[in-house]
Amino acid sequence: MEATSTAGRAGAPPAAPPPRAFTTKKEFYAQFKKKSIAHELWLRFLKNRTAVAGLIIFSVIAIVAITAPWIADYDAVVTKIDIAARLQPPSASHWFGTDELGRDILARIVHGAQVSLLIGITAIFVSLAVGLVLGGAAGYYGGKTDSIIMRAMDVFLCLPDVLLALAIIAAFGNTKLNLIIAIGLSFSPKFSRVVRAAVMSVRDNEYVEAARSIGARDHRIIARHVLPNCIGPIIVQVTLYVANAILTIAALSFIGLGIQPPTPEWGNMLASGRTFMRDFPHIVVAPGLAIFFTILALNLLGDGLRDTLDPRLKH
Amino acid sequence: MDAQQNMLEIKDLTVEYVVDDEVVHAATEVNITIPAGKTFGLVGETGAGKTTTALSILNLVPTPAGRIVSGEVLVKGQDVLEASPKQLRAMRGNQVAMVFQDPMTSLNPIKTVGEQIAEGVRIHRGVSDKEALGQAKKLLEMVGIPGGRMSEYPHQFSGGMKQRVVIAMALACDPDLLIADEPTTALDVTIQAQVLKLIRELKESSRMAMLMITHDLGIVAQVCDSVGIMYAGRIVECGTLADIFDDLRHPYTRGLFDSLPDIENRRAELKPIPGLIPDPVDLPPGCAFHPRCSYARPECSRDLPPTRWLSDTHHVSCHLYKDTAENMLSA
Repeated sequence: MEATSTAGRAGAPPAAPPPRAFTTKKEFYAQFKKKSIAHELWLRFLKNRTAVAGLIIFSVIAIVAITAPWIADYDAVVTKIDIAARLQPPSASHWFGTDELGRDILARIVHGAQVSLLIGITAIFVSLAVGLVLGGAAGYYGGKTDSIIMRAMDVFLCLPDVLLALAIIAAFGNTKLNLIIAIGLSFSPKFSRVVRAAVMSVRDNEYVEAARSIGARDHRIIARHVLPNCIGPIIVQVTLYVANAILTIAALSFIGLGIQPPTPEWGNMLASGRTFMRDFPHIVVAPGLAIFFTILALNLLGDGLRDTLDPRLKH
Repeated sequence: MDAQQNMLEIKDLTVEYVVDDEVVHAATEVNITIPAGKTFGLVGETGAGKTTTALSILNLVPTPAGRIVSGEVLVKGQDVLEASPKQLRAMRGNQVAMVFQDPMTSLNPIKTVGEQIAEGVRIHRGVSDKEALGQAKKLLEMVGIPGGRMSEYPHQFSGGMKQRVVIAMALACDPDLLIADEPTTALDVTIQAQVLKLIRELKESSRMAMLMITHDLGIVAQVCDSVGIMYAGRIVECGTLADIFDDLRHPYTRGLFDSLPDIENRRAELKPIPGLIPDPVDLPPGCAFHPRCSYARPECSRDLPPTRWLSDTHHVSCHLYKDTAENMLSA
C-alpha cells in the first residue's frame, strides 16, 4: 500500500515529519479507521467466552510444542530408556509418571504435541492448497468443470478419511512426508466442497464482473477477487479440520501405521501403553487428555470463529 | 463522418438466454452507432434488454445461459464477437470500460480503492505497482476525491463517492468508449447531480464516446446527443436528442414522456402506460407493444412493424408510419 502524501492541508507544519507521524487530523484518524473491520471482529470474538477459552488452550499447547526442545532434551530424556524407573506413578520428578520403558511421560507428551501439530497443520495446508485450486475452479467455472471435479471428489468422499490415508501410507511407506501427503489428500475433497460453496456465493458479485470488464484474466480474478472474499468459511474449516487431522494421525499411529516409536506421538503412546492400562492407568490417561484438550480447543476456536465471521449466525 | 470514426457500431445484434428450455429474447436486431466524442442514451423499462446489449459490447453476456445469436459488434472497426480471448482481454478496460449500476456491489469490499483503480492500469499498461498506484491517485483526484483516501476501503466511502471510484476505475486506461449502465439509479438525487456533472465534464474534456443506459429521461436530456428507445429487446425509436424530445413519433416513447410529472402543472395526474412489459419468453406476435398501445390497429398484432427513416438521424418502428412520415400522435 502506497504511503499517503504527507503534504497535508494548508496550515500543516512545513517541516519534514518523522516517519509514522501524521501531519493532518484526517490522516491521523484514517489510521484508526483502517483497522476498524479487524478490530470489530476481534471485539466480537472476545465476547464469545468459550471461543476465547479455546484460543487460550490452543495457544498454550502451541507454545509448549514450539518450546519442546527446551522443556525436555530429546536424547537425554524423551527417548532415554531406564528400566529401573519403569511404570512409576506421577511424582514430583515425573509429573505424569513414567511409561513401560521408564521414559518420562510429560516429556513425551510435550514432544508428541510438536509432532501432532506440525503434521496436522501442514497436512491441512496441503489439503487447503488442493481445495483452493479444485474448489475454486469448480465454483468459479461451474457447468461441466464443476461436475467433473466434484464427482471425482464425491468418489473420494465415499471413503473414510482414515481408510484413504491408510491406503496411501500402505502403498508408499510411513515416513512423515507420506503421512502429511496422505492426510492432506484425504481431507482435500472436504475443502474442495467448502471452497466451491464459498466461491459460488461470491462469484456472481458485481465486482467480479467489474474485474472481468477491465480485462483481468480468470486466474487473477479467482486469486485476487474471489478467494480473498471467501476467507471466512475457509478459516473456520481449517481450524476444525486441523483437529480432525490430529485425530487421524493419532489413529494411524495407534494402529502402527503413523509415527513409529521411539518417536513420541500421542497415538503410539496410547498403543504401547494399553497393555499396562489396567494396572497403571496414568500411562494412557496423559496422552488421552492431551488429545482431548487439543481437539476440544480447536473445536471451540473453530465454532467461535464461525460465529464471529458469519454475520448470518449473529444472535 | 466516415466509418473509421465510429467508436461503436452494433449491427443487427440478437441475444437470447436459454433458461429451463425456454428462450428469453433479451435483445433482437439492435442497431446502435456511436461516433467518437458522442453520447448515446439507451432508454427503456427494466427488462427491456439494455444491460444485455451493453454486456455484448464487452462480450460478457453470461454463459452458458446467454447466447449471441447473430449480429456484429464493432469497436473501432474490430468485431468483438469474433475476437480471441486474448484480444478481448486487451480490449476490456483499455478501449471499452464499463460503469456498473450499483456502486455498493461493484467494488471489492476487501481491497483498498487505490488498489482497485490501479488494477486496470497494471493489467494494460504493464507498469510497476508503484506507478500504477500513483496513477490511481491522480484518477481519484480527477473524480474529486482527495488522493490521500486511496488507501481506504470501499465501506469507508459514501454511495456517491463509491460511484466516483467506479468511474475512476473505468477511466483508468483512458478508454475510447465508456458504457455507463444506469450509473445513477442507486444514488439519491443530489449525488446523482454530482455524478452527472462529473460525466458531463469528462465528456467535454475527452473524445470518449459513451453509451448511457438509463430509464430516466431527465438524465438523457442532460447528457446525451442521441437516444434509442428500447422495448422488449428492440429499439423502437431512435434519433438525436431533438428528434426524440421535440418530435417523438412512437406511441411507447409518448407513453414514457407522459408518465413524467409536469413541473408546470403539478395538479395534472400522471398518465402511466397501462399494463406491464411483456414476458420476454412469450412475446406477443407482431409489435410487442400492441397490447398496451392505444393506437393499436389490427395489423399490429399480426406483422412486425417496419422501420421507417424519417430523416438521416431519426427512425421509428411502428405501423402508424407505414405509409406516412407525418406525426400520427399529434391528435
